[in-house]
Amino acid sequence: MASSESTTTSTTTKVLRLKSSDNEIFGVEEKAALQSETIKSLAEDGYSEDVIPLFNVEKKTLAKIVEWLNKHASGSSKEELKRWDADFVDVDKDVLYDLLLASNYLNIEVLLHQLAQKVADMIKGKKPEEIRQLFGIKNDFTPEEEAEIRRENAWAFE
Amino acid sequence: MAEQLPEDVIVEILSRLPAKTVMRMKLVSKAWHHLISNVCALRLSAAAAAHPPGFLFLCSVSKFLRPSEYDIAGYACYPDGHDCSANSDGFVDAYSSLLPFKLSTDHYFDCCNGLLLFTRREIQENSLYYYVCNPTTKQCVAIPNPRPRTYPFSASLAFDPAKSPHYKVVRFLYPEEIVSSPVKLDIFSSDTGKWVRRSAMLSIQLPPPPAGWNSCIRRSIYLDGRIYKLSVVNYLLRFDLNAHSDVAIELPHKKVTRCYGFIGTSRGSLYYSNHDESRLMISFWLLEDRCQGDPFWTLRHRVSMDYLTSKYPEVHNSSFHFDAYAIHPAADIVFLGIHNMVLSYDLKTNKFEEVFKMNKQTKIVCGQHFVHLFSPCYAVLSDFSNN
Repeated sequence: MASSESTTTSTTTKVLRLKSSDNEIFGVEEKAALQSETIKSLAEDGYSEDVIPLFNVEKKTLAKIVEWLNKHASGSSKEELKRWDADFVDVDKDVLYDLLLASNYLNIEVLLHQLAQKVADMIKGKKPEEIRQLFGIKNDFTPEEEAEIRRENAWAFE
Repeated sequence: MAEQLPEDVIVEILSRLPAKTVMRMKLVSKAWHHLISNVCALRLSAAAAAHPPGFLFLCSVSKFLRPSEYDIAGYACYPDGHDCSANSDGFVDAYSSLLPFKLSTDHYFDCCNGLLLFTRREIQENSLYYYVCNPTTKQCVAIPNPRPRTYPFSASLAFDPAKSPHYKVVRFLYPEEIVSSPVKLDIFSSDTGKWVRRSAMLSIQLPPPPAGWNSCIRRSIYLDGRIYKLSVVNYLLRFDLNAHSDVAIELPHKKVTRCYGFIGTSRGSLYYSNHDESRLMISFWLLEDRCQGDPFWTLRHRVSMDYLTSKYPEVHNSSFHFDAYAIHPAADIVFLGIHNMVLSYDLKTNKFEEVFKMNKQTKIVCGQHFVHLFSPCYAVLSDFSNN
C-alpha cells in the first residue's frame, strides 16, 4: 500500500492530489485517478491544480481505492488483473461495504461491479434472516405480512 | 454495523443473482420488498426479454382414428428447439392448471411480455370474463367487472415490465355491421382496477372491408403506450392508451389478396412484413413514428424465397410458402415459418437454421398471427377479488 502514497510530482505525468474526509492527501497519477467519474468531473471543475476533497471517503478506504486505481492503470495483463482483483475483494464484510460505498460515490464502474459481484456471491443461498444479519437490517414485517409475501411469491419459495 | 447501502448499490448487487433468489429476498425488509418489486423485478424481466426462451403458438392436432382436427396451444423451446409435439416442457399444462376453467381454443387471446390474457364466455349472462396469467410466478387473476358483450369485440394485453409493473387489458368493440376498424375501446388498468370506455378516433375514414371479411387481424402489438393492429383494408391502426389519439397508417406494399402480413417489435421499433406480389421475396419495413409529423415506413430487409426453399424442396414444390412468424426482440433475427416448422433467419449473415419442427400429426395454425416469443416476467399480479 506504500506505493500509493507518492507525494512527488513527476515532470512527465500529471499527479492529482486527493484528500480523504480525515484530511490525508494521496497523490495519484492523473491517468489512474480519472477512472473515477467523480474525480474526473471535479478535476474538470478546476480542482486539478489544487487538492481534490473527497468528503465521503476515509483514509483507510481511500488508500485501498488508490491501490486499485494504480493497479488498473499499470498495464497489467488481463489474467494478472483477474487474480489481483480476486485478492483485492477478498476482505472482511465491513471493509467490503466501505469500498462499495466509496466506489459508488467515486463512480468507478468497474470496481463497483466487482464488489457487487462479491457481495452477490456472499448472499447466494442465504436465508432472509442471514441476509438481515449480514447487512445489519431490522426485520420490520409482522408475521402476517411475512405470510402474505410468502403467499404472493409462492413460486419463488418452492 | 455497516452503514445502510444506497438503493442503487443494492440493485446492483441483486441484479447479479437468479430471479427466484431475488424474489425470496423480498422477506428481508419493507425497503427491500419495495425495491425488489418496483425496480429489480422490472429490470430482471426486461433483461430476460432479450433472451426469449420459447415460442407460444396455436396448433391443430389430427389423431389416428379421429379425423376431426382440434386446436390446442403449443410451446417450443428456443434456441434449443427440437421435434415438437405441441407441449414441450409441460409449459402449456403448467399455465392451464392455473386457470379456473378448462382451456380451449377460443379462450386463448393474447401474450405480451410474459403475461397471458384469456377470456371465458358465459353464454347465459351474455358476458365475457377476462383472466391475466403470469406463468412464471404461477399466478392467474380475474379482471373485475366485465362489461356485457354488446358488440363483436377482440381483446389485447398491454404490458411492458421495463416501463411499469402495471398492465392494461384493452377490449376493441366493433359495430354490428362490418367496418374496417373498431369504434370503441374499453381499457382496464391494473393500477386503478377500473375499466374506462372511449371512442376510437381515427384520423381518416377507412374504406369498408370486402364482403365476408373481418375487420382486423386479431394479433395486436403493444409498444410505448400504444397498441397496433392490422386492418384488412391495408392499414395499420395505432391506438394511444394514454391519450385520445388514434392513427391509421397506410401499409407500405401493394395488396396481396388475403395476405394480411405480419407485425412485430424489435428493439423498440415496430416492423411490418409481407410477401411481394410474386411471392418470391419477404420484405420487412420499419415504422418511423417517433418524431413529429406523419409516420412513414422504411424498407429494412428483403429475404429471397428461392434461397430458403432451395433447402426445402418439399416446400418449393408445394403451394405452401414461408411467412414471417416472429422477430427477435433484441437481435437481427427474424423467424420464418410454414405449417410444420419454424426457421430462424439471421439478417446480417443471411444464414438460417431450423428452430423446431412439428411432428406429423400437428400443424401450426395462423402462424403470422398467433406465434409469440415468450419471455419470463417477474411482476406480481394484484388480486382484484376484494374490489
